[in-house]
Amino acid sequence: MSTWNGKDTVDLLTDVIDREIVGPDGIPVGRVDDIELRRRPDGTWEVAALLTGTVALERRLPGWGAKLISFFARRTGGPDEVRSIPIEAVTKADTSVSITREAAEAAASPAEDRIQRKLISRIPGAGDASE
Amino acid sequence: MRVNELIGAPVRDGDGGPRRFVIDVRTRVQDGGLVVEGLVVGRRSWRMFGYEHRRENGPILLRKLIERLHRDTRLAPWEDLDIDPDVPAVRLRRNWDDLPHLPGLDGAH
Repeated sequence: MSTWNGKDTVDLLTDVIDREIVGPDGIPVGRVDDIELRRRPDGTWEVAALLTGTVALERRLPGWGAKLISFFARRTGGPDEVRSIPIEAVTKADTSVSITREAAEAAASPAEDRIQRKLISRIPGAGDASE
Repeated sequence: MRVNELIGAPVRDGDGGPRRFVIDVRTRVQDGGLVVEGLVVGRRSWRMFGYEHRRENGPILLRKLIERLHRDTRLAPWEDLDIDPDVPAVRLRRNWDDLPHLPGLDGAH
């Protein structure tokens, strides 16, 4: 099975950035907020890693958008630091980006846990939504 | 270097032509990885929503709008670019008119 959905060319903004990142069990761990490039020994450049986290996201938002994200991040315990997912950990990329279990555990969002504890768990009925 | 630093960066060519913008970073799949092929550069920094890749035409009005907005959009090969990541800014070593149009957005479907 092709990692890149059978494509020969991949446009990083159109095809990768903003896609949801999921672990092997389908649980979301974040979104692709930025991509790190590195120079290869032969002088060409390649994708080194996918980056996720509100700090990575803020860099491409207009000033007001970055301030809004920063405001909500402060309210939920501080901004999410950038987590890097090596490109070798990507197992499949189409409408979402699937990564290995090890990479998913390393990239799990600390902010998501904080939001769950500080906001969602306080909503009446949040604890028994599936019952 | 980060992709977000490149997207939207101004691009100038050797002739001092009008300023253009980086719209996307094009890579080719090689041994499961992604090697940078060049930058998609156009007059506007609007996204292309993948219409340059797809065979389907719908919604037709959106496709026509994207084709119209990106009729002058081209692919600048990586080896023809000087990139200053501190600004960030991109200088094109070739003349703009020598660059290939993006296949798929030139109406040749």
